[in-house]
Amino acid sequence: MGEIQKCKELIGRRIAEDDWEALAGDLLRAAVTNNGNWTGLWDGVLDRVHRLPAQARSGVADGLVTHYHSDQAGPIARENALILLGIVSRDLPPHDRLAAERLALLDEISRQHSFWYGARYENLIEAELAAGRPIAPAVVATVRRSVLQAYLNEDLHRTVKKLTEPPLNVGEAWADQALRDAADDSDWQALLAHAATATAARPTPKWDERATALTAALGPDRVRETVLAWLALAGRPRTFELERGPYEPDVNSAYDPYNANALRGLAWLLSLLPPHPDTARALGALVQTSLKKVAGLGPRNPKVANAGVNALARIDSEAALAELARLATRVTYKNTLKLLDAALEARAEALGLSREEIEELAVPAYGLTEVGRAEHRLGEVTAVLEVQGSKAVLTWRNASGKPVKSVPAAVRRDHPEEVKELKAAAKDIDRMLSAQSERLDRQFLADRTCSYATWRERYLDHPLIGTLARRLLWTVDGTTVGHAAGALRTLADVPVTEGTEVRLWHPVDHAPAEIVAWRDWLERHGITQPFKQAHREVYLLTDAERATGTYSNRFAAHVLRQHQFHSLAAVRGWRNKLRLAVDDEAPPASRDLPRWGLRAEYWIEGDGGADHTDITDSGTYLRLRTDQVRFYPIDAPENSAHCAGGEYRMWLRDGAAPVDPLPLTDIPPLVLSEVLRDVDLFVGVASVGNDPTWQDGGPGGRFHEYWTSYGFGELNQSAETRRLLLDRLIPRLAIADRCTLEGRFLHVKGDRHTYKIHLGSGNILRTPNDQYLCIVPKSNPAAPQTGYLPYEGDRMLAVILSKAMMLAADTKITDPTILSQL
Amino acid sequence: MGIVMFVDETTSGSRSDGWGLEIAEERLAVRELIRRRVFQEVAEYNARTPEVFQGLVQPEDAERVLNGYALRTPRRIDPETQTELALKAFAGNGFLVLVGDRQVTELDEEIDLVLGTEVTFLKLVPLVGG
Repeated sequence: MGEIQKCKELIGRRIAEDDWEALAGDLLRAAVTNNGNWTGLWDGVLDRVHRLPAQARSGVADGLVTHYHSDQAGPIARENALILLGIVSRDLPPHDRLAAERLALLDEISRQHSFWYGARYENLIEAELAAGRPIAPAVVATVRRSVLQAYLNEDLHRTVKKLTEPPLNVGEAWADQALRDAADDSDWQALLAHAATATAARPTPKWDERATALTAALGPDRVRETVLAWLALAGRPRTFELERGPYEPDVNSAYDPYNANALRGLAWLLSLLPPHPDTARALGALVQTSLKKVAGLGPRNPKVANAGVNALARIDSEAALAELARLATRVTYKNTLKLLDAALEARAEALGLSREEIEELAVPAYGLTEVGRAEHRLGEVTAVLEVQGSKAVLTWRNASGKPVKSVPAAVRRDHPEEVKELKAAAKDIDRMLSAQSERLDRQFLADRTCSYATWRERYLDHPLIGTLARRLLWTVDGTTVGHAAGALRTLADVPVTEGTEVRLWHPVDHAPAEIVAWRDWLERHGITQPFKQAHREVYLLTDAERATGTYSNRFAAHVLRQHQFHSLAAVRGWRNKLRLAVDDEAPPASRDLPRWGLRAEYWIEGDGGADHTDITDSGTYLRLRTDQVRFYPIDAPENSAHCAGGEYRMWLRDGAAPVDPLPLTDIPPLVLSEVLRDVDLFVGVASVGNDPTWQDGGPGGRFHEYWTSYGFGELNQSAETRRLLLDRLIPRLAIADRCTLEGRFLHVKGDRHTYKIHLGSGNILRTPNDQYLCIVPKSNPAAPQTGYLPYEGDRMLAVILSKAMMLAADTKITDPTILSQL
Repeated sequence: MGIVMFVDETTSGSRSDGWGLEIAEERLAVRELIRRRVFQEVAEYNARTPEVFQGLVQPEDAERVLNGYALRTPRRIDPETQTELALKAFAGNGFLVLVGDRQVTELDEEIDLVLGTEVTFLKLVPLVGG
C-alpha cells in the first residue's frame, strides 16, 4: 500500500518536472516490486500514465528505450520495459521502438502453453498490430489459450478478438492439416471458424443452422470425408513442443484448449450430415482418444469426448447406436459414461425396449451372413470374412476357388471401395467382439433370463454374438447346455432343440463334479471360452465370514498401488475416488447391483507414510491400505471416511438412524462370489506384494511384514486352480521325481539345495532356513523366445514351471546374479 | 505313415484345438520333429503373410504383439533360421516338448510315432536373478 502511494507521488513529481526518463525508471522499479502485476490498486498508476498528453507519453517511451539499453537493466526490467512501452505508446503516432526485441519476446511466449492474464502481454500484441505487422500463428495460439483462462483482463479479451487469423491454433497435427486444406478457400475457413465457436455444452439451433448452411455450400459428402481425415489425426503428438514448467501437467499430450472447442464443433457438425458408418466409427475413436489419460491432468479432454457422445446420440443410424453400445462397455470416465447411459436409455425408451434389450439389439452383424462368416463375390474373386477366435480374418479365393495370399490385383483395381469396406468391417468386428465379450462377462450379475426364441436370435444364431455365445455354457430350463458339432448339447452330447427360458451358466449354482465334467466336455470338443466361465473362480462364504457376520476380512490389510486399483475398479464397474493427501472425506470403492437391490463396498484408505511423502506431484497417494468388504441395501446412505484413513461412518441428516450392513449369509452366493472375485482381482493385480523388488519392504521398510506374508501366505482362488493344474502336469515332466506339491508350495529338490516355490506369488524360499531367493522373469531377453500361444495363459504358472526346471538342475545355472544367492 | 497332432498347451490349462501334420516315418528324432513343425508354420505364414506371425518362437527383428509377433518390415520368414532359433530355445528351456505323456529332453532322442501321437508344446519364461 505504502509502495503504491509512493509510486503515485513520484509520478506526480516527475510529471511536474517534465522528467520522462526518470519517470520511465520509476515505472520499471515499480514493475519489479509488483512483479509486473499492475492489477488492483496498481491499476491507478497506469491510468495516471495513460492520461498524460501524447507528447509526454512519447517521452516516457523514449525513456523506456534508454533504460532497456542501459547496462543495469536485467531480463526482468527489460521484459517490463517492453510491456510498459506497449502500454504508454498506445494511440501514439507509429514509431517502432524496440521492435526486434519485442518480436524476440513474443517468440519466447509462443513456446509457452499460456501466460497469466496479469502479465499484460496483450500490449506487445497491440504494439505489433499498431505497427501493421501480422502476428505469428504460434503467438496467436498462446494468446488464445491464455484468454481461455483469463477472466479479469478485459484488454486481453479485446485484443484476442482482433486475432481472427488463422481460424485454428497451429501446433496440433489435425489442426495443421485442416489449416492447409482450408488455406485458399474461404468456405472452409468459415467452417473452421464456426467450429471454433462451439464453446457451450450443446449446440444451439442457431449454431446448427449456420453449420448446415456452411456444409451445404461445400457439399455434405466432401465435408464428411475431409473432416473425418482431420479427426483421424486428433491426439497425435504436437507438431512443435511447448515448454513444460515444473508441476505443470503434460501440456504436450493434452489438447490445445482452443482447438478442443473446434473439435467439439466438428463433432456436432458431423451429426448434422446424412448418417454414414465412417462417421460413427470416427466419433467413437474420437471419444476414446479424448479420454486417454495425461499425466497431471487425468482424461485428456472430457469436453470433446462428451461432444462425440452427444453427436453419436443425435445420429439416427444402426452404426451410431452400435458405437454407443460399444463405448458403454469401454469408457470408464464417469461423466462420459453417464451421457452414454442417458443416450442408450433414450434410444431404448423411444423404441419401447429395456436397456438390456437395446444393448443386445445394438450389435450389428457387420455384413456377416451366418454365424462368424460371410462370403462376398467381387467379380471372379470371392472374399471370405471369418471370425477366428476373437479376431476377424479376411481371406481371398480366386475364380477356381483356390486361396490366394493377398488382395488380387483385379479386385484392387475394380472394387477398391468394397475392399476398403471389408477391411473396415473386419476391424469393427474385432473391436465389437472384445467389447461384447466384456459385456457378457459382466452379465453374470445382471442375472438376465431370456426367452428361448429371443435368445437364439440375439445370441446363439446372431452372426457376430453367436461366435461368442457358442463357446459359452447356458442353462435352458435348468439344463446346462453347450454348443458343439452344430447343435446345442447336454453333457451327454444329447442335442437340445427347444426350450422356454435361457440364462448364462455360472459354476456357483453347480456341484464341483458337474463343473469338472463340463470342463472336460469343453476340452473334448476343443472349445476355448472367450472368458473364464467353466474355469471361473468361485468364492463361497467361509467360517471366518460366518463369524464376523456382516463383513468379510478376506481381502483386508493389503497394500495396493492406488492408480492401478483405481483403473481396475472402473473397468469392473466400481465407483471409486482417488484418495488425495488432503483434509477431505471419500466414500469407499463401491459397486451398485441394482438387479439385487444391493451395494457392495470395499473399504480403503490412503497410505502416504508417516510424513505423507509417498504421494505424486499432484498430491495423490501412491498406495492404499485395504479393509473390509460389506454389503448394504442399494439405497442406504453413503459411508465415508477421511482420505488418510480412519473410521467409515454414515453422516445422516435429520437425526436418522444409520443403516446397518447386511449379514453375509443373506447375500445370494452368486453375488458374493462375483463381488469377491472382483476384489481378489484388485488385490491380485495391484498389491505391492507382487513386486519382487519390494523384498526390502519398500519405503523405509514399512511394508516388509506385509510383503512377506503376501508372498508366502495362504493361496487365493486362482492359485488353487494353479495347484490343480500342476498336479496334472508335473508327473509328465522329466523333473517329476524331483518335485512334490505340499500345501502352498511346490518343493523342488536340486543338487545344491532343496527349494520351495509359492504357488500364489511364485516366490522361492530355500529350505530348511527359509532363505529368500530372488529370481525374476527376464524382461527383454536377447535369446530367442517361445511363442505366445494363440490365447493368453496363466503367466504365473509358466513362471513357477520355469523356476522349477531351473532349480531342479541348480548345478547347471550360470547366471552370476542367481549363483551368488545359492 | 501317420498323422501327428501338435497341441499348444497353455499354462492356464486350456489347449488349442491342435493341428495335424502328416509324417511318413514311424520313428523320428526330436530335432526333426521340431524342424517339421517350424517348417509347416513358416510355410503357412509365407503363403498368406498375415500381419501377425503365430509360431513357436519369435522371428528375428519382430516385435511381440497380442497373440503373436509382428515383423518390423513385412517379409518372408526363412524356415532354416527359424528352426535354428527354435532349437536354441529348446536347449535353453524356452519350451518343453511332451510326446504323449512323457517329456522329451534330448534333441537326438528318437521317438515312436504311433497313430494319433500327440505332441504338446509348453512355453516357459526366461529368468534372471534379482
